[in-house]
Amino acid sequence: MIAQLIDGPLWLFSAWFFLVVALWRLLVILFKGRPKSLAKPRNAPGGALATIFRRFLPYPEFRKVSRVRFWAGYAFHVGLLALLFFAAPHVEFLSQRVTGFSWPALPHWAFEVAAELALGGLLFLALFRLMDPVTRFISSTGDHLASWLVFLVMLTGCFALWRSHESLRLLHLFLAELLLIYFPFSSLMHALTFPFSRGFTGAVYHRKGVNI
Amino acid sequence: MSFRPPPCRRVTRSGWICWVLLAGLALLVADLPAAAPSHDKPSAKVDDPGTDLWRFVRRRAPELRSLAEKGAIGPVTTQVKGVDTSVLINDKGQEWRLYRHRMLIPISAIVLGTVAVLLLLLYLAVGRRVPDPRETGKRLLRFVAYERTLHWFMAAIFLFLGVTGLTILYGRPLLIPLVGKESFSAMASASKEGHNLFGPLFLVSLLLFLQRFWRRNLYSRGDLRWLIRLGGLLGGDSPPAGFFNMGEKMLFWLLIAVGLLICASGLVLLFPNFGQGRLLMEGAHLIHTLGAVLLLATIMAHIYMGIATKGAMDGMKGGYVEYSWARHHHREWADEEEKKGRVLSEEEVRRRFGEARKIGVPEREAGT
Repeated sequence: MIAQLIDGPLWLFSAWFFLVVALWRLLVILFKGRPKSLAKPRNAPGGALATIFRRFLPYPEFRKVSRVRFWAGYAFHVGLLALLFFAAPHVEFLSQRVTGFSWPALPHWAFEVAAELALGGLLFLALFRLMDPVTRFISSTGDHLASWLVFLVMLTGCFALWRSHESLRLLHLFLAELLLIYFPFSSLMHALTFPFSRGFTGAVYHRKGVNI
Repeated sequence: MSFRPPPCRRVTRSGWICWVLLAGLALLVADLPAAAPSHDKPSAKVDDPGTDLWRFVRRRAPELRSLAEKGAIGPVTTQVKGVDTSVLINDKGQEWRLYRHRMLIPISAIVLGTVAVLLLLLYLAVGRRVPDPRETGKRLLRFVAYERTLHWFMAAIFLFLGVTGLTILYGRPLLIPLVGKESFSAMASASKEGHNLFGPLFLVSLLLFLQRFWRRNLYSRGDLRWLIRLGGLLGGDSPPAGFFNMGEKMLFWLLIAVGLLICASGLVLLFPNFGQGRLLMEGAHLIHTLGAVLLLATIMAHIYMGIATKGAMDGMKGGYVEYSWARHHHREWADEEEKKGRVLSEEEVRRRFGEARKIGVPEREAGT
């Protein structure tokens, strides 16, 4: 009964819920527009695209201080992306239930490396969020919740790697469904909104003559 | 209706031949000694070539090798090339299995259980130790955020590996009666996957830990005196110590040495595709288990010290420790910090945290 619910209706509900609410939030951001700047422009329009890419690296002033967080952050994000879209069970699942077509999956060794990077990076960052007084102060309960929920989803996914037990696969799927429902309301939305926020900031400051 | 006997049939030539053959066969069978098993006589021993074959298969070397050299039998060959691919039955595997079940599991369980019970009894008997009840209202920064994160990163991985490893080791005798075979099967599978995945992360955390702390854990003057007095258990007051006392230094180097040994043996087990034979794998298994039991027992004592000594955990939680605690346990370090003017009042610490909270400036973290 519970297994059927997780594998069927709950999966459909969470997937559609994620799509609709995330899209709605994105549309709200896009259609909201921005207040008209009254300052005299110092630069020609532009700067959004440059900022989107420039922000992939930390500011030079913070490079040394944030070195470990920088690498941990990249390890987590690259690992997660690889796991999400190129882990063999995910390719099979998505091709069967979402896209209707398949694509090459990671070999097992690459999956292991991606999982190590993602889990290690996220664990380190989640603990740093707790240990550093500044990041702790600027983090909300939702931020902590999102971090640990993503961690649990990845961990249970690795438990269920060989699909030897249906209960482990269902546990992973259930947590992934909870994450999909929680995603649009959390700071995890940055996965979809970061180009807009960076682009907006870049465009505004570029207009004022500042390249950030 | 009257009874009519069946008509006599004429026996054909082929029928006669059959009868003669059957009679001859009967005589032959009756004459064979083994044909009729006799229970009152011991049966004759007949060498079964299959027995020899399987004995050779089980032992393989050196009998087969010597026979092959003599030309009595052909060499042991297989189309599958690899370590032990020509071994069908491995007697050593059975010996290892029995050793694991009869020695390794019970003895390691007794060691871990005894340490846990002793520490619990000690805690119940002594309670939380309060080295200096006087709160001076002064604070010293002991560990910066990166160091605290690294410590808890390693601790989380170690505990996860401990739980999953113990599930694999003791699951059959301990968990199956509690959760049943099916649930345990899922738990064991998850534990194995998790253990394999987090093992290399433990190596990473170990190397980061070594890189960060090795210098502060080198032997320095006064460490031997601390050790002789067992950190104050003998002779009353706690002997002076630097940033780390000799007990902590010993724990550090034990963690590094045994941790690396566990990681190396774990990698041998994790990647069996590099040509290591069964004997090496069994040795690695043994080293892995013994090392893990030793580290688990040591870390249990470490956790006990952290919980049972008031103020010991503060440094790993918020980074700052009470000055009286530092003076009691790490007098030389506390004096050095005082000379450098790094002793902060509680208000100062609060103000620094407050500033950080207000404008996003990190706390003062020496050494970052």
